[in-house]
Amino acid sequence: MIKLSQIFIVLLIILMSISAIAQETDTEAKNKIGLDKVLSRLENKMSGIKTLKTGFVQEKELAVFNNKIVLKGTVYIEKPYRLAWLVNKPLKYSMVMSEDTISQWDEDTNKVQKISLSKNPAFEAVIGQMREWFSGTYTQLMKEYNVILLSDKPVSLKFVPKPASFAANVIKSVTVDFRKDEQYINKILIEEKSGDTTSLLFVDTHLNIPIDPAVWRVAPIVR
Amino acid sequence: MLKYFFAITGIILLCLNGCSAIPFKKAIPVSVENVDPEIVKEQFALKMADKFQIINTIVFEYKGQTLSFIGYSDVDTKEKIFTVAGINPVGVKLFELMGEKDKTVLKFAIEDFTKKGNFTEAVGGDIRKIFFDRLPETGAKVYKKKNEIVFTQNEGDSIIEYVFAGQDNLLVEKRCLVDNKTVWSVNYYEYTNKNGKLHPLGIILNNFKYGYRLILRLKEVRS
Repeated sequence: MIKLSQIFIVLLIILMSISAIAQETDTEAKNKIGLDKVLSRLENKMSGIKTLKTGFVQEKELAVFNNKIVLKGTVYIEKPYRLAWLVNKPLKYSMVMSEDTISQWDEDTNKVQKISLSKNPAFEAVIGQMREWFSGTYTQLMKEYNVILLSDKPVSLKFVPKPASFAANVIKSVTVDFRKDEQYINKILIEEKSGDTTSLLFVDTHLNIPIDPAVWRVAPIVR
Repeated sequence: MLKYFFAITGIILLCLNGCSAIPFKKAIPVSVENVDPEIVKEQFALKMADKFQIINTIVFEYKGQTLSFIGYSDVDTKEKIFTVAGINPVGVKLFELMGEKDKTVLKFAIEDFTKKGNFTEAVGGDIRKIFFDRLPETGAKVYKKKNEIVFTQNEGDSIIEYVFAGQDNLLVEKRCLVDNKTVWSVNYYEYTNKNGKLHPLGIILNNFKYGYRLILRLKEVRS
């Protein structure tokens, strides 16, 4: 026969569990509200950016090596469509995206290659995501990613791809750290399922400055 | 008149086959009349690194198409093991493979690379041609040209030739001949001293059988 004290203990455990679940749900709800506030605050601040020029240091750490490959260069953005990704080290390379085309050049081949985005839907999807990461339209990314607010000040967000998403095949998570003034990103860390990581540190960032039109021109160098 | 026609046609054909631009300085021709081939071999062995990690930029040329990428190689020439990875200039991993003696294992490759032919064996084979067996075996035959010392040895149905030349009599070419035709060659240019060992700043692999060329430019040595 079950004693009254045993029934009491079981009831207590159930009550404690319900209370814990309620607290968790409450925390989740608060987090959701906090996250929504942070995202709209960020989008609001970053929507004011019309042009951007920033240096970057990209560190690629491949799981099979115990060393990093470091790439350095400059990124230019001119909303709504233009993005130029210029690498200076370890080789000179430029990639310029316009609304429908990507043009690439590198110093070793000194050739320009053009890719039509409308004819390469997979490429277009990747580029589309790239634009969203850099322009701060993070609510768009929530269709494909679950977002966790790691820190409010300075803001740090962790994006985990939803299981059915395209990114879930490759990416484990993307962590985006913002500058203290929340005007732009300070660092992006991409963790891949393979164990590789890529970090992008943005340095010497200038917002809303005139961009030299030559940045958008990709042409072979006359030697 | 006819002999001029044949001479001009011959020159054009020679250029189409072998006059692709070489973006490196060739070794300065120096007479080898008084040079002892065995000493050349011994000294070169002492100057070469057995184990190294290097970063190259690599251009793959095939049928007028070019692909440029960054290569990270971890090579142990004594144990004959290697790990190589290729990333594009934006930092996206293209492939990753490991080799041990005659076996090569593909860890990762983008789909475009694995669609045609045996990508793993092709890359593994090229790595071995470029970095392994850069010294002729004991007992290799040797002959001298005006400015070159050539070691030659049989390997199955093929003959491997090692050409030493220049002011320091360093390895400038390794080639494989089958039925008196060169099926592949590796040329080494502009040796530089890094961490007390010599590394070529430029390497060109020509695969005449399959009609492609690889151009490697040394960017960094991490031993």
